[in-house]
Amino acid sequence: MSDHRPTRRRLLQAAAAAGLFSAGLPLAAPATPRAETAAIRRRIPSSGETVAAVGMGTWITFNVGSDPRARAQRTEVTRTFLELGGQLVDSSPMYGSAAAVIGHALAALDHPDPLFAASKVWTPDEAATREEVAASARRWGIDRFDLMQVHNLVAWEAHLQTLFAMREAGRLRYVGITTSHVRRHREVERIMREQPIDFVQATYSLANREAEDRLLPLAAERGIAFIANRPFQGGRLIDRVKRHPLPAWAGEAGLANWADALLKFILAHPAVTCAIPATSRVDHMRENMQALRGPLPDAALRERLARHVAGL
Amino acid sequence: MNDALATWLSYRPGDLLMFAPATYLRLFERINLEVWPAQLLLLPLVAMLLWLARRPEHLAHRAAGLMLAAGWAGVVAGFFRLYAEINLAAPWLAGLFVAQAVALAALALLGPGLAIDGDSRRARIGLVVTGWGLAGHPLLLLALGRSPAALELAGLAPTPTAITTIGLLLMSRLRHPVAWLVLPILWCLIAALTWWALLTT
Repeated sequence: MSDHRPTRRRLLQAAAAAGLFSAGLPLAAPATPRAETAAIRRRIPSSGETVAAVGMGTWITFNVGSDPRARAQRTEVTRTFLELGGQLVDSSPMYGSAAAVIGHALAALDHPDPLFAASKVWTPDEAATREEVAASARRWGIDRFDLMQVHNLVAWEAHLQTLFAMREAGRLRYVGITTSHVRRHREVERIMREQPIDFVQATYSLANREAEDRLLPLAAERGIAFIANRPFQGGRLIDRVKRHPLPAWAGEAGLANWADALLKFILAHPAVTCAIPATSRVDHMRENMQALRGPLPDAALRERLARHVAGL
Repeated sequence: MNDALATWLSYRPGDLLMFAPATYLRLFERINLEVWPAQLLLLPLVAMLLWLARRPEHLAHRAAGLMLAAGWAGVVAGFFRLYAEINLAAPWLAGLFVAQAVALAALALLGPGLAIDGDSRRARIGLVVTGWGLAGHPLLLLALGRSPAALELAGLAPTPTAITTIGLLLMSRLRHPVAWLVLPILWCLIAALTWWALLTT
């Protein structure tokens, strides 16, 4: 059972984080020449468990129905993701056939062990929480989710209570909420303050930094893991920047490509636990997973990246 | 501004789709592959339908109407079966095609059926539209770079089926075919919006 009571350790961490945030200086080592390093793993505050900091989203990219060719390709994308150290796979019933396609891939890969399975409850029917979780688990072909989230706060009050009960009973390990809308941030903050959730998922990227204002500091303060969705703005951001070469100063700082730069911008914020880019291509997955290793940009490099991208 | 409305207005058209353009195109490839080589029957079947529709016998008009209804039902059984796997709204869209199939069947069995003539101005417009649905639409897609395997054909894909139906109804002797035109026109608008959204992703 997760302990969400404020502890001396948590308060000290929050104070340190608050101080650093007010100075606008995220914790990160200065950029150094690229070298082989261990995978970047982030701690889930409520348990102390660590998870690989680059996950995989499945919105649109895995919604391919029964198409055998597309399913085979998504299986290779998943294989590449897992082989390169990825763990957290995030989906939702809202994503159409994505859950079934994930299940197909996992079965083809013989249900790999390091998987961190994350899905969502997305139904206005407050009585259907368990049913929806069970249906998703069947589609994934797994016994239990690691993380179950209330998708875009739909009927969150009732769903959260059921999910907490399921967590207590060991039917899942973590409970969270998600939003993709800045307008819901106030409500998300309220939930973060009042409910014993383990995770919050919200949009955070170089082009969408609103979460830095309140959600990220609050996540650090409350010991809630933060998943950054839409790190590439649904593809728009990375398509835009890829029309231009990665600046030489970014390469010299150890950033391998634009995906690496955009993801490491996110991961350089210490309150971020995991970023979940989505892709349907193996080559793009390889680019994304470069962000799991190597130096993180410091505050100056982050801001330089942001200014550079804004000017593109 | 109301929060819910503001949230919806903040979406770009592409944000409202839950599938990629390539996945949508694959639907047409897959349905074409599933039925191949039945596509070779399309022109002979259309020729038969037009022949029946121009016959003087009411029974022939009934048969023509039922053939057209079968085309709409075929799109439900084929295209929308696959589309429902990737679009949560597809079952409702399929409902439009079911409704049109039923309306055309009712026209055939309970009404005058599908009888056409080529003499009026409206009929000549209808002929052009029918030709567009049967040939112009797939040829345009080819010209725009669509793979032949992913061509949209009447009787298999919804949009050329709708366009061809509009043309045939304009060619028909029905004085007021509006009731049977609403759904095909609505589908053409939906298809146009879908492609607009896909192109903005």
